[in-house]
Amino acid sequence: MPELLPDPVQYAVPAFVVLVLIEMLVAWRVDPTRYEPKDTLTSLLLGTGSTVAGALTGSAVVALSVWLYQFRLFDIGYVWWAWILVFFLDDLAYYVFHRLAHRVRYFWASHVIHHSSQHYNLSTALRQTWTGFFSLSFAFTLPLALLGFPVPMLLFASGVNLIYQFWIHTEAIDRMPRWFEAFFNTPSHHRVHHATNPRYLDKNYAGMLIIWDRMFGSFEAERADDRPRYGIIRNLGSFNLFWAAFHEWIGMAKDVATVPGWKNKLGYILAPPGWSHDGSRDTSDTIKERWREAGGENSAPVGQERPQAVPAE
Amino acid sequence: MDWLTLIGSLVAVFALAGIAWWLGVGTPPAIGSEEAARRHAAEAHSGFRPREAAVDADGRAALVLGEDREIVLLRPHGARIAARVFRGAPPCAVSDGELKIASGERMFGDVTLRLGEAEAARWAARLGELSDA
Repeated sequence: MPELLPDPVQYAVPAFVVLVLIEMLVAWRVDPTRYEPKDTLTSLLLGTGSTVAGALTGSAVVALSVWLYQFRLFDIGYVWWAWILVFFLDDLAYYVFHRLAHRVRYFWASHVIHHSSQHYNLSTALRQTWTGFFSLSFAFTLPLALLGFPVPMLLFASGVNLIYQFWIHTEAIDRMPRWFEAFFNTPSHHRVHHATNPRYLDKNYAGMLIIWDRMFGSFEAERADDRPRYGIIRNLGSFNLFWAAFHEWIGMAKDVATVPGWKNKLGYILAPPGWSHDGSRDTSDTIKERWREAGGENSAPVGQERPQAVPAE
Repeated sequence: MDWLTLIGSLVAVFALAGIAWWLGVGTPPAIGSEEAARRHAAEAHSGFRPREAAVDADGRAALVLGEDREIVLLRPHGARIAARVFRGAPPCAVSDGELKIASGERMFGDVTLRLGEAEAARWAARLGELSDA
């Protein structure tokens, strides 16, 4: 990171550890199924690996950003309004990245790691990709460097965005005040995003601000009668760290290698996750379609309401 | 990231996982009944219409047959249930009252249901009929 601004994530890590511990103790008292030791270990090791991968590729991303910055359209500098604007634009760039990460298999292959836990707790927040650089996740903020926002400012804003997204990965908080739920991403909104219930698939892509989902038609409110079930459509059924990190890349490579025809090969890379050349697999769209045909939108779903708190023995 | 930070992170990671283990959180779920198996299968596969289910004696696994030759295999994964959907019968074998289903995936593994001699044989025959259909 260029000098001038500190890396906020570095300072937040000790707080992450303490908050995971506090949430785990709350879960132990309230609902012990919220945590599972092997799941927690997998999530946290994936997070550690992601930090290592980021350290290895970070300088290349910064160098590219600085190189692009020399062609900037405006000299924005560190004026006060730029600080406000950069948080909005960085969050919008995150929304675009995140939406594509769910709709294009090449990006999903990297992002799926974050969704691969069937639990939803603060350790899940740290279950981060090892292959973000390979799937070009950095490219979505590069236009902001071209616009003229200083690179250290962009890195700082991205760091703050990442830190914000930590606390929303919890079942310990039900709802925030209504005004907050209207404007910001919250635990409730993000539980929807991590859910595999047909109603909730491909919804709530927000980073910090839920306004983007409300603006671009991808918002879905959490319902008491449709309790989120977390994970992915084909849950891994394994705590193997490397399988979690690379399974979708391996699956994609196998599909591309075995299917005949360039159009099909491209489909397995660029079409939505679950797309297949013979229609034998499920995408989120086909799942939603079947669910609607079965009257799912108007009926009480199988999950029923949120469970009552279970006191510890 | 320096080596000290990395080692510190790993210590914190294993400490948190160790505390989770020590607290005893996240015990494996049991599939308590045919009804529970049907519900889990319907949750795992949108539009699935369950017809009959075989549930392991200890609730450690279940096999649910649905309409249109769809089959959902369930087994615990940590404190949750993981599922696999088959269109047509998966390979199976019977031994000592156990029905062993091959998921076809190394990382998911095979799944064994303790059903008793008669039920295991009946379900194997049932799957055989579906394979031949």
